[in-house]
Amino acid sequence: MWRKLLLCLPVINVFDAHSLALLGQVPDVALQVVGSQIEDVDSTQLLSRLATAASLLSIRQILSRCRAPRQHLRRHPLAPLPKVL
Amino acid sequence: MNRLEVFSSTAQSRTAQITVPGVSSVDLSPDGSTVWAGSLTERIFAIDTSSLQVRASYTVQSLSPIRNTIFDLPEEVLVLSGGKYLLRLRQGAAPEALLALWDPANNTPIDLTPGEPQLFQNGLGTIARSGDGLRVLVAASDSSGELALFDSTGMLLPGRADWVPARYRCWPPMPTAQLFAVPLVSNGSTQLYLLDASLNSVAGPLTTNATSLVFSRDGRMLYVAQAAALFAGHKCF
Repeated sequence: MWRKLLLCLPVINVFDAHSLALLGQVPDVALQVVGSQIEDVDSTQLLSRLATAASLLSIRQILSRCRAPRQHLRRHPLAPLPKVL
Repeated sequence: MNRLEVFSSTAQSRTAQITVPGVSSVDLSPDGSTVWAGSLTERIFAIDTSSLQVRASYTVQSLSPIRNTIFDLPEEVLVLSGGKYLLRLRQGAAPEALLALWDPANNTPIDLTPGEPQLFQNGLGTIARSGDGLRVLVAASDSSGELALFDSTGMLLPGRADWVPARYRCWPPMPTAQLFAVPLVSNGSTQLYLLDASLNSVAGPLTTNATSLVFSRDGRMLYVAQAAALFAGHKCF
């Protein structure tokens, strides 16, 4: 007997905010080891993510593109890390 | 952390660095003119969003509701409508915090703990403000599952949910006071609910392994980020 393991890649689900009906899904940015959280969204649907490695990521994701996603990912410049943590 | 960094969402580049000693939280005023920053230095900072400079700082008066225990660090500041602010006021020597209402005009925080002592038995948990600044959802920091709603004057509103909130770093600010998106732990799994202003469930549960969530600015959509996961598939003999 053996068991298959299914790998679920990180995604961003878009739900209707009044019914929780699923409107679409886009692949998320997969960064090994680095955890991140979506922090904010602006009026153009630009999502900002803050990662624990002191980097700021952003994903532009328009709802109409949910089924055929095109992502624009930009890593913001890192602040210099202190010499002594 | 001793500084705030400002990024442009159009150019996607860092535009400024602002020195703010011990900064631990930020919140934007309703008119967008001021960023209020909480800190671990007994001070609250008001930052002008045009000049990107500190416009004012306030040394918050400490509260001592229990003998020999001083709450004096405004770790988190939430801007309410009507010119008042909600503070997570922390002890210097311990991580416990209390909920306080603060008005910069008189600089005297008011302890809100007596209004709902059960909720704060083991300290203050997650707090989230609605986007319009009219409501604040507050959770206990223990597994009692207590949630309560406060209005912008610090008044406790009727309605209570005895569920167990998942321990997320924060809940998203809601664009209006009508709905709250709350991840709850039920039977060991995390489920997402939409709660109304009386904390009744209006949608959900939705099983999710969400790591973070945020409402769109127009309040029509909810973005939920889910982490990568491994699931057991079917068994083969």
